[in-house]
Amino acid sequence: MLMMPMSALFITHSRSMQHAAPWSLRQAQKHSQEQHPQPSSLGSGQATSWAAVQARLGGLARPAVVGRRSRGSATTTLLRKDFGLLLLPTEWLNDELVNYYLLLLQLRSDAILQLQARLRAALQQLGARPSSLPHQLRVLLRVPRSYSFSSFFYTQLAPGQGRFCYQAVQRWTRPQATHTSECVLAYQLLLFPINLGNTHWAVAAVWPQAGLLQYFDPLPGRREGRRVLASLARWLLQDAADKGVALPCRRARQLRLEHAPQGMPVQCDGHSCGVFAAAVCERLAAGWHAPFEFSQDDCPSLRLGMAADMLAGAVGW
Amino acid sequence: MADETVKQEQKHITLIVKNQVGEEVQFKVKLNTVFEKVFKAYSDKKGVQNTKFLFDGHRIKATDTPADLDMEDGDTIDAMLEQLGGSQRLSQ
Repeated sequence: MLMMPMSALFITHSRSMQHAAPWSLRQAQKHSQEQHPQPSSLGSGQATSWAAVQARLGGLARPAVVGRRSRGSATTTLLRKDFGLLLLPTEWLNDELVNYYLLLLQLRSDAILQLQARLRAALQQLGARPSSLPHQLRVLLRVPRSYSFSSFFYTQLAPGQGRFCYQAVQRWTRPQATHTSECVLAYQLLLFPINLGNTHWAVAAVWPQAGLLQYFDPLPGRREGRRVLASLARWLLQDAADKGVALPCRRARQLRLEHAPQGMPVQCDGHSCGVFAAAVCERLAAGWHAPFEFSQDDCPSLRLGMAADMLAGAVGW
Repeated sequence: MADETVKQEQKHITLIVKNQVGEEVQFKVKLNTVFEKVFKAYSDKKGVQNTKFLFDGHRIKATDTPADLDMEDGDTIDAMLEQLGGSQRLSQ
């Protein structure tokens, strides 16, 4: 059980290293290797074209079910009817796609966390420093411990018209509900897909230990970001007090709110914000920070990468 | 032991299904009732389709029972509608 995710991680990693897939972001990378030492493919390398995705879909044992992944006692199923939105280049993404993708990111983070623990134990045993590790393993050690929330979290917390309903999500961060050994507020990174007005996707990233809250929106100049960050800041402090988690920043004025972080790619079409949101979550969960290396031009390949990952049931590393 | 099991199965709890505008519908269910029945009853009563039911943030499966999810009397289930996103709000 312990070995499975780790070996899977290595396999996908080596696979993505071997095949410079046509949709690989390496081609679109605009920043130096130093800034982004580990270009992510946002794809597992198991299907590298829409034809391959369609072929895999055709081979499914149960045509109505594209994927099923479990975490703790919760099992999430991705249905064909939802996956179908991804196959149509201009369709909007729904909560099923966003949440399934974030579940895959969570599973990848869980696997990396286990790997980090083993790496640190091995280093300690050898009396070695992390700097003595090969580059690829050093990058793994920088991956933050993260937790991905459901897109319904923010909808429940802030159901519109300026309302703030802490009680609606009070139980969502109990360790029984997050399937974690401790409260996720003690983690480094919390990811929140934000659905605005049932028309738009953005992402909020909360770094409880750093006291930083960021709002990533592919459409700049929107006012909602401030409201999202204010709601999440209020929630963070209230929930930390409720769950007994000691945060370095305990007062609202100590928290830093980044409304529009530099280097957020801008959406130029009328349908890709869900893809932007997924790509931002993937990079933050992998330990990258803004500026991000992708742009509107990469959306078709990012979309294909998402589809390939969902079919494979794992996000490539 | 067998008697206890029978009693357990017959025990009823009240669950509250709350939608996104705060409207509540109460259901009295047995601990071993599959949620498929609750979902159908809710959909019939409210006249809505494709509702997603969450308990503490997790989707409830049609085959789950209140006992599976350790539910207690008075627990609330969130009835959520599909979320879509692709572009900016038209009104802006």
